[in-house]
Amino acid sequence: MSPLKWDLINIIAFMRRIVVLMLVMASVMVNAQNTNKSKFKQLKEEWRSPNAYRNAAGAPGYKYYQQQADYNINVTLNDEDQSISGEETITYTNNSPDDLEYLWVQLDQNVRAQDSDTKKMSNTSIKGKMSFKGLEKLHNDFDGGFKLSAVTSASGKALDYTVVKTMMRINLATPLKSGATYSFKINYAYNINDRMKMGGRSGYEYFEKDDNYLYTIAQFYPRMCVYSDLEGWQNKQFLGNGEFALPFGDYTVAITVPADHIVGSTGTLQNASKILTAKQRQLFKKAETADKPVIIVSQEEAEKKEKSKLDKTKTWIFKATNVRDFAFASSRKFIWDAKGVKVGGKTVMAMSYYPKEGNPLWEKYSTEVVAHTIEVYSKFTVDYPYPVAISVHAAQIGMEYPMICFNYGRPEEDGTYSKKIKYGMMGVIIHEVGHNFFPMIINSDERQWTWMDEGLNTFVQYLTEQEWERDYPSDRGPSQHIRHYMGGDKKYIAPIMTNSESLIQFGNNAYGKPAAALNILRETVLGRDLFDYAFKVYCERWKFKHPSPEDFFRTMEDASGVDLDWFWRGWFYTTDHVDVSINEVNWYKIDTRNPAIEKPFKEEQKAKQAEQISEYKNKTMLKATATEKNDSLNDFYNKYNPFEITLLDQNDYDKYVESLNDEQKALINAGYNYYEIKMSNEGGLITPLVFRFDFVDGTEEIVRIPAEVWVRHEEKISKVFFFKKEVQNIKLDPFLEMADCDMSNNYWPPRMELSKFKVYKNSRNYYKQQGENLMQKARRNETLKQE
Amino acid sequence: MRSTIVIIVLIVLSSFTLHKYFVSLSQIELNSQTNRIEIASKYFTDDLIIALEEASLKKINLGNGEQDSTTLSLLTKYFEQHVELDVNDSLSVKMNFLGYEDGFKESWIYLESDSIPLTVQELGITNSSLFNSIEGQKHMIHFKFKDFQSSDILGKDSQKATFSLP
Repeated sequence: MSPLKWDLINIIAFMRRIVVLMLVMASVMVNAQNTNKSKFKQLKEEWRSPNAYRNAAGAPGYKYYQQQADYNINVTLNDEDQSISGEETITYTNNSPDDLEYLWVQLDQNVRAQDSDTKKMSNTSIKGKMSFKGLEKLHNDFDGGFKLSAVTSASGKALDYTVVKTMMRINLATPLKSGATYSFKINYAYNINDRMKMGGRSGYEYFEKDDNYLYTIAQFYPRMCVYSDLEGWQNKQFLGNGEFALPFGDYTVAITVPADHIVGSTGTLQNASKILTAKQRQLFKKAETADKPVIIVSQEEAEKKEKSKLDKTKTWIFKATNVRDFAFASSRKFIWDAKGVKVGGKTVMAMSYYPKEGNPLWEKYSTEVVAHTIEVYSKFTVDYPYPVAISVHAAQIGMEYPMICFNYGRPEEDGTYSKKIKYGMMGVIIHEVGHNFFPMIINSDERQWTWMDEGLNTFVQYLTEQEWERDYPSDRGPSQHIRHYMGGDKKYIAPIMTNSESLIQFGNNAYGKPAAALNILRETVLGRDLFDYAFKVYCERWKFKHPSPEDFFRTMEDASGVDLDWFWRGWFYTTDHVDVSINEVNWYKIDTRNPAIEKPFKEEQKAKQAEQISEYKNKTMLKATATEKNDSLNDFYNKYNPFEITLLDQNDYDKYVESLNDEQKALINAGYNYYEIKMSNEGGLITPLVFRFDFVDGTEEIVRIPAEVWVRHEEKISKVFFFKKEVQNIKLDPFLEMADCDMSNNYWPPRMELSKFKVYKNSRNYYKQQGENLMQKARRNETLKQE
Repeated sequence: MRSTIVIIVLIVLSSFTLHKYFVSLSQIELNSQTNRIEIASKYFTDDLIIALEEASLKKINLGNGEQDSTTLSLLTKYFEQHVELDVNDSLSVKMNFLGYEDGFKESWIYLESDSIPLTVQELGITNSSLFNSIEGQKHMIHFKFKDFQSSDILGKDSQKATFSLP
């Protein structure tokens, strides 16, 4: 709107009020403040100063460095006693400008040691009742943790070291100079946990029916800590929630397993000619170009192997380049299928390993979902850089490692499966394969910030699910799903920028809220073009590197060209929530001063005016007034019609019109309706505004207002909208994109928003079906038909 | 102090440990017109399944959007047993299970109390659901009566929330 028109409206000035709607104004506390507490204040104090390692644009600086840890591991999986024994040589390159007096190594298995802090810090209580499961957990005398038999230099000389729970410090005789490389060896063993009983990100599952084990093996070797410009050594203890921080490196891993096992692993198999049969190699080759998964080891073969056990062993050798970790799975029960996916001109092998218990669900979906995930993530982030992407069937869990992940989703024994299992399985595969990008490639520090991998990954997971099928039942991503959490009692909510171990409501905090925030950033604040470009720049800049939160925030602003400090501040540094209240709406029209229009209008208004009670009663109860009884008491004023259009009126109007220029005339005659909306920010979080205006003629219009509307008035704002048509209803946040936690104050005219309870009571469901899934029901129907 | 441990569950039918946090959310309102307590609670479907299967030793069909009478009766029994209401520290009021909406990840449970024959000054709500089945389970409670709002969080060691009305 041009200022001229506003001036005009001011000049005309005879605006009239037709409808005034007053709601109770919520009182807004205005604190006396002597410092800048603006919600739009730049984040200069919260963020580290840009420097030579990380620049102000959010990119790696010209002196950016990271350490390199290369591994050569020989590991044996003992099927008889479910244990691991191994020896590794770590070659560590100090690319930092600092000399290091010691090296820190992670001993993650110690989280299950008898004396672990995780066990000690867990709260236990007995409240009259206790289940066997609870008792078993309490009594758990599992002998877990790494047993180190030797820690030596490359030449075999014993090294001085100190174990600090889940960490180990190698005390170097002479500091490792900047730019120098150091090799050392560790020999170790540990007992594998029963994942089904004790839980865990890795472990084994025992199948009683055929007396076989399925192993998902990870954190199976002592791993280097990250040394960086951000944290020095990241040697914060592993307590269970905050996952991992790991440097990149190249791996050669020789895995010795029973000869009838099939191994799925990070990396590329180096000795396929020795390990695989000619037929298996041929099928693998065929899978590279196949348009649907090719079965390399069939269910029939796997079932045959289940029945006997070979004493002999085989050693599978894998190599992986530029990865931050390594994991594998092994079982004689494995069925194996594969399919090639073209990404950035290269072929990636999407593969799945699963026992017969996973079928028929796994052969139908697992590899296809892996392929879909790789394709969609590559579009939004970076091209998938690794040669394989693997999904392994593991009951109960979802856990990610480079190129390989362990996922749940087990059908019923009769081969049917519920909708929940189907979408649960696909969701977990998308999520865990997606972790290849966050944090395996874009390698953030999980021990410090869970949201940097879980939040970003959950966001892209949502995009990927929606590209799998329309109306995919995604539980995280859409902003309305986070309203209940964000609007809740602040005592139990922590800002997203909180250390991983201190999070309250882990899932909402680190998965749901950041995913919703990014979705709002993409759909409402920046728009898809600006967001997608900036998000991709972040991924490209930090692939195979260690980004920090600031690097993400700065890149998103630098690449989109939009100042988002208010957004990060509100969404990531506070527990404020979105709740905008429409408190008052006033409707104005311009006084045309045209007597032919205005006089009848005034007459109409007068007629509409409510009668006073006495006037109303007197109409019938008072027979005649004095002037009615005696006409001589009437004079000019009794007969004068104020609504009569006189020549004088007409002359005045003609003069007025003459004084106006054409533009002004057009504006007056356009007949606009002006709506002044007064709003308050009840939740505290700054938000863009989205309005839907429904007009009397049944049409509607969407109006979007940027968040900066609050910049000078953070608590209360007033905004005028105008239309030729008359507005019937106004709704704030019509597409549920703002995460507005209280929708009851989003309507004009005001409308009661029913509580969840009342909505339910008003639309009660009826219960007809019996306890079976839909596939079982359909099957029963078929049987009936045949009878 | 109790000195005995009663073992109630022998078989675990299924369990999921995908999420690493276990919190339910309840919106509890004292309806000033009916003088009844209305509860809408959101649980993780996976956790509900574990608890119900442990309690009933039956396979539970939940989270598939296919409501059935068996699940309804098991949920009714379970929640009427585990959610208790007392008023002014003197009167125990029955909670009635109204029904549920089962979602893929999260399910809603609806309960309503009998009409309370007193002017409510203090409300005690006990929710002992899931604590025996899910380690680390918490219940977040948001209570509302007219303009009065208050919240509390229940854990295995503190299964009751008390709200004093203004």
